Amino acid sequence: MRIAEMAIDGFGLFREVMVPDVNPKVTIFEGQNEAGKTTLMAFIRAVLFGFEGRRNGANRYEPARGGRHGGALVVETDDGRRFRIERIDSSARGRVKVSATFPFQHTISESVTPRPDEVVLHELLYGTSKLLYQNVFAFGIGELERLDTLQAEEVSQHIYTVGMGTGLTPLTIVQSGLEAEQAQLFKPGGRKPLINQLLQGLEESQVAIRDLQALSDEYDTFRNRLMVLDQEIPENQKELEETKARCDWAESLVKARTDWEQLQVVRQELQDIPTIDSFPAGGVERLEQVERALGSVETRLDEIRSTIRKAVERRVNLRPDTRILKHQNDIEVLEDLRGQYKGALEAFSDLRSRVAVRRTVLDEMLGRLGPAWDDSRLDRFEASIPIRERVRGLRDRLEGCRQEVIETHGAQQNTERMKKEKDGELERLQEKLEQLTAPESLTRASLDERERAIGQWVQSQHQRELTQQHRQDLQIQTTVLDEQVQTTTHELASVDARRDRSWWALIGVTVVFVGLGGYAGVQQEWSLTFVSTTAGMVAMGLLSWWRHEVGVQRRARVSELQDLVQSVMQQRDELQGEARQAELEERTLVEDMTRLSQDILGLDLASLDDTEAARRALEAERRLSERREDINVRIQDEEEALVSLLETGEAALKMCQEAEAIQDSAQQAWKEFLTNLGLPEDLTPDGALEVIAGVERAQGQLREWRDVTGKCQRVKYFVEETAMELNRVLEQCGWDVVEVEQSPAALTALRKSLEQSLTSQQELARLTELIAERQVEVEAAESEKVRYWDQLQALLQAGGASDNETFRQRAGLYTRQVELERQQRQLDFALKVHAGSSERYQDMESTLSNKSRAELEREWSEAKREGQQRLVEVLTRKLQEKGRVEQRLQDLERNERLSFVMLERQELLTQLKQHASRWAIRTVCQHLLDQARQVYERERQPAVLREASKFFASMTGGRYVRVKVPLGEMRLEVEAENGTSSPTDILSRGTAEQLYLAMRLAFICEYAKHAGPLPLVIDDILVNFDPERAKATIAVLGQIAVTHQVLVFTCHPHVRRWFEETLEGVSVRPIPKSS
Amino acid sequence: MPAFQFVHTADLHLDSPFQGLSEVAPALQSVLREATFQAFEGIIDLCINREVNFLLIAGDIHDASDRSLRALTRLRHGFERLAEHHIYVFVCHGNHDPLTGWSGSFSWPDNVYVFDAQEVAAKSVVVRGVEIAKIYGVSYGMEKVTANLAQQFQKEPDAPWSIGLLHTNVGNDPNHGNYAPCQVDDLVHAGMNYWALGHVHTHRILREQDPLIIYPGNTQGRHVRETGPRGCYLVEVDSQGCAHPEFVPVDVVRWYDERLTIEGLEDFDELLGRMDERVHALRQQFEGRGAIVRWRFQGRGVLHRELIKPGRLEDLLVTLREKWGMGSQFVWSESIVDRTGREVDIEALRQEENLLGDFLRFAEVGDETRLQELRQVIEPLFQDPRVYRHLGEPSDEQLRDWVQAAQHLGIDRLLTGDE
Repeated sequence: MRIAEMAIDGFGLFREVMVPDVNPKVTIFEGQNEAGKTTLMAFIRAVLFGFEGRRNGANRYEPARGGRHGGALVVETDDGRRFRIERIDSSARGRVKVSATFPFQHTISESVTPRPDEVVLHELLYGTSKLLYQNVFAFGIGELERLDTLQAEEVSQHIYTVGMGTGLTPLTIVQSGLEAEQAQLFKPGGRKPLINQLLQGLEESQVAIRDLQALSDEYDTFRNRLMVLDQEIPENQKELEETKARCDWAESLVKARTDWEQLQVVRQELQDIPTIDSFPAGGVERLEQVERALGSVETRLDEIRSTIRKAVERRVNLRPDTRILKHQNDIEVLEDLRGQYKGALEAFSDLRSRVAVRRTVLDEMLGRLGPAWDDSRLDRFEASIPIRERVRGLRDRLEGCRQEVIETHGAQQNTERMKKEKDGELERLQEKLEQLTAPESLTRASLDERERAIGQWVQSQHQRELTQQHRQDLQIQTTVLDEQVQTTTHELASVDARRDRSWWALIGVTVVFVGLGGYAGVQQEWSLTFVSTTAGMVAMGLLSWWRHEVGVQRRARVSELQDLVQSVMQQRDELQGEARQAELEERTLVEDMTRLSQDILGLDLASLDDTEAARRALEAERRLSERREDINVRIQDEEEALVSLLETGEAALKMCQEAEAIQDSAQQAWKEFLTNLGLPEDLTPDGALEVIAGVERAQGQLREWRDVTGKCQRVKYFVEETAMELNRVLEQCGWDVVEVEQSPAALTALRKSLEQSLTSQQELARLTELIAERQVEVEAAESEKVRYWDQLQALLQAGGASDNETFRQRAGLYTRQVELERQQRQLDFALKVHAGSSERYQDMESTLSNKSRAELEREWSEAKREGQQRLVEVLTRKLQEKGRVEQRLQDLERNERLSFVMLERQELLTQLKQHASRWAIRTVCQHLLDQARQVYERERQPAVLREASKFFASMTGGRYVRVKVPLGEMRLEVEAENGTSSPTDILSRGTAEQLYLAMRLAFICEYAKHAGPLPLVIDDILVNFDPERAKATIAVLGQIAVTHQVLVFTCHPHVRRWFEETLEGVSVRPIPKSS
Repeated sequence: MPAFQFVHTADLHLDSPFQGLSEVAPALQSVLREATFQAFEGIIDLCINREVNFLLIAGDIHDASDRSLRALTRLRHGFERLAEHHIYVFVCHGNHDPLTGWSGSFSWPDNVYVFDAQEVAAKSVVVRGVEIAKIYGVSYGMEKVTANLAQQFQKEPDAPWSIGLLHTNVGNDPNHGNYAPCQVDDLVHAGMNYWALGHVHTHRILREQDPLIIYPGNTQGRHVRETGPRGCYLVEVDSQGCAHPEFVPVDVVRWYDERLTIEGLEDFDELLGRMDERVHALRQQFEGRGAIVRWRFQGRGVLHRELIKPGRLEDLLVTLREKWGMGSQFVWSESIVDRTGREVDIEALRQEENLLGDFLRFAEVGDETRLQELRQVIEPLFQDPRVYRHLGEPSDEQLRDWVQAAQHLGIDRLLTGDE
């Protein structure tokens, strides 16, 4: 496939650009940097393989100058069909449309049903992926350099990757990664890998399951045992019950024996004591209760009568003062005022001294304010916060004005100082400029013109050397051709000479045979004559035939040699023409160089060394010019700064005058304010604030003096009133009046006398009431004593006794009789309980009457031994065993452990399956990669290396003859013409790039065999090649161009010229420009 | 004839463990261990609540090889509950619980009748003095019964409504062990009114009438191949002798095999959103049960590159389990099977003359020889005696699946840049 046309709608800096009739072999796109070479390459890639994705941040070359994003390529297939591939930006990769163009009107497959455009394009590209195209078919110096900088193994891997035509992961990394993953999963005989661990876990779980399943045998054993126990236990229980019944009867008899003996004793005593039918219940207790009550009443009567006597004696001695009791209220009122009165007396003297002190302080303050100040002026003066604020405001205004005046004065002085400094700096720069003298012709334009002239001279010199070299080559070739003409001419002459010799041979033979025939005729030897004649004719015939053949050959050779001479001479003429042309070119160059050196530079340049000296001189002049320009700029800046300073100075002076006027106005306002307050005009704001503070303090002192004076008057009035009231009460109670100073003591005495009279009066009332109450109690106790006496008599009569002692004896007999009857009932009941029933009670009584205690105890112990010890033990053991068996059976039935372990085992199995699956996938993948790698190494790599060797040998002029990969290693080696092999890292940069270019071209040829040829796009890859190898490389590209279209992008004119010189039919096109 | 009703179940597999679970939350383990029992209890409740006359169990009540006492005691407890309600139980044994096996001597309540293995026996069902049905059945004496037992069944001439009870593989279904194999014709010729079959785990009606032939399936799905509802059949027989079967699901935990394509999905959030919708829809289906889901991701898309990053699938699985794996309506994510691929044209890559093309061509498993060659590659693991004991020989299908996965893995590892 080849690109025939390009039509860009909008792509990067291109808009509506057409590139028609692209050369099917080699096209050079030449343009300077930023002309759009990379954009054009990207355009080709984008149309063929889609725009870059939006997400990965790659340059999509959105149209910078408008137009629809995208464009079209017209391509031609190997069989001559043409297709237009158009891609416009609709989706991320863009929408592609492929259509056949003249002379074909059908699609590529000529099928009835049109196929998707992407499929058609895929076929046109031989199924080549974008990555493969980018890696192999379109590359620049960057890719070659990148290969060179990689380590040996990575280089090899990269080459493999190029051969893979896919992604960029080195195969060894892929394989080692897979290997590591396999090792983590499984290792024969290992313990740590996951699968090995799982297998171990499964073994353990299997053992656990086996153990748990073995429990089912245990279950069967326990079931059988349970059935046996279920049969035996009821039989044992029956036997035990019978034995136990016997034992119980014997035990009852033993236990009943004691009760039975006691019963006999009780019955005997009941018969011995007299019988009393009835007696008062609790007789003795009731008798003693009545006796205690009578004693208690008599004791209480004695106590009450004694109390009455003592109260009467005490009442006679009590006498309260009635006059004081009459003035009880007045005394209590005075007593309530006692604390206040005492405090007032003490406060009065203190207040008097405080009044005197306050007045003295106030007078001092008034004295400090001045003679015009008294109490009334203090009351009138307003020392409020607004007044102070007003003073502070005026003070700040005055201070602000003062600061403004100082600052404006300072600014004016500063401006003056800077002006002087600028004047000094200007003078210094002027002096410096005068020191740097230079001719007036030293301008930037003349310097640039001279620099350009030197550059052109150097370029012309290179061109001249190349032309001279070329001319020498042509002369050598002409000489060779001359020698060839001479050799050929000489050969032509020798061929002519050989023609003459054959003619003489024919005449000689004829003469010999004619002579011989004549001689024979003369001798009449007719047979000899005939033979001689015949032989002569045959010889002549043969000679004529031989001569004809030789002549034909000679003529052919002559003609060939003549053609050769003509051809060589023609070539010589052409070379001579070319040499003359070169000479003319050289002469033109010399004239140009002379013009440049003498007319423009004014120098006589002879060699490249002279140009270096000229360059250095030029550079010195350029530096001088730049310094002068720099000083001029600074002088200009300083002058501008000076003008600016003058303007600033005038403005500062004006501001200074304005500030002074404002300050005068503020001072006038201050004086008016002082006059309004009645303060002296010369007072400063701070002084005024101090006077206001002093007035405020004096006003406070005046208020306090007035408060203390008022308080003193009120205390004095209270003391006098209270003393008067006390004396009035004292007179009415018959006591003497007292002075103010003695009044507190008199009041105390009066209060004590009142308290004593009140106490006596209260005690008198209490004693009278007590005597009345006790009289009532005496009467009640007397009637109670009579009631208890009646009760005692009734009790003696009920007990059948005449006095208290007899009553007590009868009570004792009755109590014993009742106790014995109770014991008899209890023992009787106990014996029936032991017997169990009435019938057995009879048996028991008769048995007890007939058998001794020892006999009964012996029978009981025998029964116990038999029943409780042996049979109970057996039964208990069996019941316990049954319980254990049942419990075990229940445990076994409820045991979830087996379910748990089996579920756990399933989990392990599942994990094993999953990991085994992962291992298998990785192992199969590894195997497939190995197989692919073997095929690659066996079938692809050698072919590529052979092809690469050919190209590399051509590029290096036979310096290196072979490229190879040592067996089993992942690196390239090159073999020199002398047979020595070297690794690639010792190659020079240019040679290494030639090697990798050769490898790449070899891959392209290999790929074309299996797929098809695609256009090769290369971007300035020859920059590190020397001219000879560059031309050799171009020749190799010429071979590639036989099968592949080659598009070369370059910014170097000499590269273009090399292509033109080396290859025929090369098209050179500038990078197109937007319309 | 009097109307009556019965319940037909089979393949209870009591106390046999769930398969395919790699790890289960402790809270869930007890639910799973109880699941087969709960399903059985559900059947007992159904019998009692619907007052059926008898219960038929067509084999594989438990796995005799597991020797689970718990299974037998819970079974006996269920039968005792039925005895309290005068409901008969007819049991035939299958390949998993043959009569001569470990549990053969276990004792059952009087309402249970277990068919013998010697020959087909008949047992009448008498209700209030009237014989309402006759049940014919035979048990497996050993695990592997290859004889056609169905041919031994024959309805007696004067028998009432007759039922055949058999554990069998009808039609030689290759997905199940071919035990007591028979054909539908064999069952038809026996002259029964109803065939109560067991063995196949998916419920299906083989024949609608004359006779009605039914597989009730198993009562609880135990692995991912046993998806969907599981239960038993409640059959009402009217006075005309017509049977009306009704499938009643009794499973406690339901399995789902959910497939999701990643095509068009940009990130994990979208994937989780899609899964959320699917789980919501599932919860509508399984009526308060728990569920176990295997997620299968497939298709080609940008998300594939995220999924193949190390640890991504494991993290996702943990997230899913934390999100839905708890509570009464839990949805436990059993595993994630990733069969997604890159957005590349594999067939086009396979045609390329390069290493990847060679790799992909080797990954094409055309003939048996090639398959056997790859089988040898994995032998170091699968021929290990311990592994072989647990996993056996991988099937051809399994091997092909691995090769397919290996192909995707190779593409992923080799292609690292944008395509």
